[in-house]
Amino acid sequence: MGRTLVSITQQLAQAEERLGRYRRALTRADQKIFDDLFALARRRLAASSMAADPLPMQIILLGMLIGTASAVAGLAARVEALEHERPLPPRLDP
Amino acid sequence: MNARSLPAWILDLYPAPEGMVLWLKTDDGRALRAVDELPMSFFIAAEPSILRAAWKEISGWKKGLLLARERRFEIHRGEEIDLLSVTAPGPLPYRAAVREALARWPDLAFYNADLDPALVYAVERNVFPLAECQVTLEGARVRAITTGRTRWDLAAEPPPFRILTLRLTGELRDPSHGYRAPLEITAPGMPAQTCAWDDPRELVEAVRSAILAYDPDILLTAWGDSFLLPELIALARRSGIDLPLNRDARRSVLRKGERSYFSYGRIVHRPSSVWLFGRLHIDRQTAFLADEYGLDGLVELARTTLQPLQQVARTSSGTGISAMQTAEAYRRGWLIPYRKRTPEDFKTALELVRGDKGGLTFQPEPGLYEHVLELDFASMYPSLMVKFNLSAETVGRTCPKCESRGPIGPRDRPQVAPSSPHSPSPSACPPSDEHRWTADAKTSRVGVCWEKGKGDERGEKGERGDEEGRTNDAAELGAPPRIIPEIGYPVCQCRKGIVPLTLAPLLEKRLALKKAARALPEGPEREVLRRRQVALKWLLVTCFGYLGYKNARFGRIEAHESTTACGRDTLLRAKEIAEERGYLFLHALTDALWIYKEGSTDADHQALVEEIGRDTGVRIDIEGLYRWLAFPPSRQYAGNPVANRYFGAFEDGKIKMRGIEARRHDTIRWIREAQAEMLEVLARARNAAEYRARMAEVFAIARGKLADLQRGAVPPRMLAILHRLSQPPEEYRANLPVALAARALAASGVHLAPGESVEFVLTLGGGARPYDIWRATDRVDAARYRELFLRMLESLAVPAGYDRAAILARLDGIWQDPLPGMERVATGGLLPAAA
Repeated sequence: MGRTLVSITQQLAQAEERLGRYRRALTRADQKIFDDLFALARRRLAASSMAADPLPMQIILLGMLIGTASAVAGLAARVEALEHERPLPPRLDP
Repeated sequence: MNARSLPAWILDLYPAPEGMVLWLKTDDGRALRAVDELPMSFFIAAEPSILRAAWKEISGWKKGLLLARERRFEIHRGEEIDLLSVTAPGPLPYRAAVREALARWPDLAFYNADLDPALVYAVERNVFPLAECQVTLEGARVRAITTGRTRWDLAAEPPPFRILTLRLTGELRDPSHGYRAPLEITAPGMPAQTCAWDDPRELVEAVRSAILAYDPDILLTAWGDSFLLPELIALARRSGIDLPLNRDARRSVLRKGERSYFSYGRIVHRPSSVWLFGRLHIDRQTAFLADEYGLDGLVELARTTLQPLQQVARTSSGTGISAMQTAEAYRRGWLIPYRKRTPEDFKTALELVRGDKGGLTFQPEPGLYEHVLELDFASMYPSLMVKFNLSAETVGRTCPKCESRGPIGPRDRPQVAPSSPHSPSPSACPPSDEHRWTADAKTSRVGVCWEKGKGDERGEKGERGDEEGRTNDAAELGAPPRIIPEIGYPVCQCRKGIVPLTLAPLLEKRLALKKAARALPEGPEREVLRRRQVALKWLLVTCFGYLGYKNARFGRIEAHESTTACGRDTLLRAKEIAEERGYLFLHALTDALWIYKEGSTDADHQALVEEIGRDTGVRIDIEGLYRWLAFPPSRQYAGNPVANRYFGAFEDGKIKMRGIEARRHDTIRWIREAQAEMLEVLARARNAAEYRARMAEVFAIARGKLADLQRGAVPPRMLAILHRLSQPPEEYRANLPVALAARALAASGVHLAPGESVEFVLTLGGGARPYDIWRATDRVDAARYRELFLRMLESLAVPAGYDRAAILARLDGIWQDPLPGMERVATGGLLPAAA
């Protein structure tokens, strides 16, 4: 509303759109992963906005990385629980 | 002539050739017209040589204008400046002189050049609209007027209004779109009358005799601005009958034309309006938000913002805030800019990236949750403006006094040192008490020079800052400058800014009203307090936008940016404190957050809000603990979250919802009511498992509703879609339903302007029929309504684990096959012409 700059939400949508042709050339399975990665970045929009980075793509990538690492950490905890026959920890959302 | 003193309420006030006209409502129910004088001044700022030339020229105008040289405090410059003051003997000569001076010197800076005489009168006499006063009259002239009340009083009775209501019988429908029903005339203690439109003479006579017999103070209408009063005036003229709508026989009724304009990215239509003199016309259809706070809220707004009731009923909250700031500046003798000449400060690209942001918006993980706690900061932005002293003249500025104290940083130190544009500009603070203009108030006060001694007679109370019984607001704050988190602007704390000065009493009053309402049992008295505080809430909501609005007199974008930066810092601090106390963070939105902790108790929650309040300095309240709370996923990006759509049931079974169909004003009634019925069932669920179990009942309701639709048992008025026109009907190029409906209405002779709303029903064959010209032969397109219904059902069912196929499976044979093309149908009234 009345802002000068494009918001981080719009920047993320634009980045996704810019990569449309890239996405098209991916296999269907990879396209799903592409969409999931952007979903991970989208869930961290508040943090991306606080970063106020002039190069938004690196913050978008950071969001994808943190989301992926969070999913890995959740899986690791589950594997460890299974290995030691402990009750499974609650599933963490990526 | 003998003077008489009497108690009376100020019903209305407006300028006239003889000065200010006051309509006074006396204790015995009479309405008196009285006149008071009101000299008004404006100021011109320029080089001394130009001011001298202007003085010489204005002296030659021979219009009874009084000229003087003055120095007053200019808010945006942060210092006193040299001025030519031009004082006219009354509000009308003031306007004429301003017009002439502006035309003669369009490039000079003007101050106090577009003041509302009613507001100036209220400040000069220390009264307010609808105040209970003691008035001394000599004939019809006011000799003295005082009030023992202030606009900040909590106990404030509304004046004993006599209200006459005019409306069309039956449901509330816009008569400009062709709807006609007999006119209903009602007033307390009078038998209700209804009159048909086929005998205009009889109709006008009935209105005339009701007005003469009852002599109302308020004419309350539905569509009186756009239709009823203009129509009655035209009929009266044609029938040669005098219709005494005004009490003031010297004035004719004032008509203002309609207009369409852009506001916050959408087009808004303001219908034409009919203003009365001596009587107040309130059209409930145009009274801004009056449905939410009613006449009690409007009275509260008129008193608090110093605007006459008819004006308050037709202007936005932003105008109210602006009026309050103007009054505050006027009271202190500060200059009121005519057209703001302060451009945005220079910023580097990085500074812009850092500062040009709004409130913090998180993305909640979609799903159904239990035992979630919602915390809301109370009036966060206005509280921060008061706490940090955020105002156009304080942000980005410091003075030698500030500098000697050294800055205090926020928790989060700025990542860059304040750079050139925001580095302290010397002498940018208002003058200290010793040399404030108010020290000379008696000589420079408007009006005093007109009649020697009159100022004293009218109750000078010395320092004008104390007039309203508030203290300390001009005292030095004495703190070093604060540094705004994230963006690093310094904020001068040596003296309170105009924005915090305006907001502090408003915040205090609203809080006190809320507290007083809570102390009362449910009932009419509590409802009145609720309405009054809701009216004030809208002023507080708007004040933030006005800080950044480019045309606002006391707005400045840097102050706006500082408010959101402080807001983000405060919200993040609340999140950090909650996480330190073991809560899981689920969601946060500007000034509210949703958190969860297994087994947390009321005592835990209380300790948490106390710590957040202490730490941030902003009061935070527990909105409630949810038995269950749903964050539905996005429709646009499947599985993705949406920040502002959620619904849940609190411990007491009360439902809170945002962004879903039952809450949206553009949802059709059939769907809104169906969802409300379903939510009532779900409100009985005590946890997420019971929510899922109760979906069976929800599907049963859905089956019933869809069966009604299928057999044509849903009346068209329940299916009417309300849609705002973004352009004139003839300019729509695509055959959208709204375009079809608007064209059909226009063809039937209805005038439609952009920003106006039309109501239409979707008909078979991809059509749309305006509800106002619905025919018995028209057929509802049930398939398209069914799709809208399913989307509403999805909002409730998806969080419980159902997808579209599972929902259809539960609808037992009611249209189980998806219709081709239906996935294109969008929500929010943006419907394609046909599937």
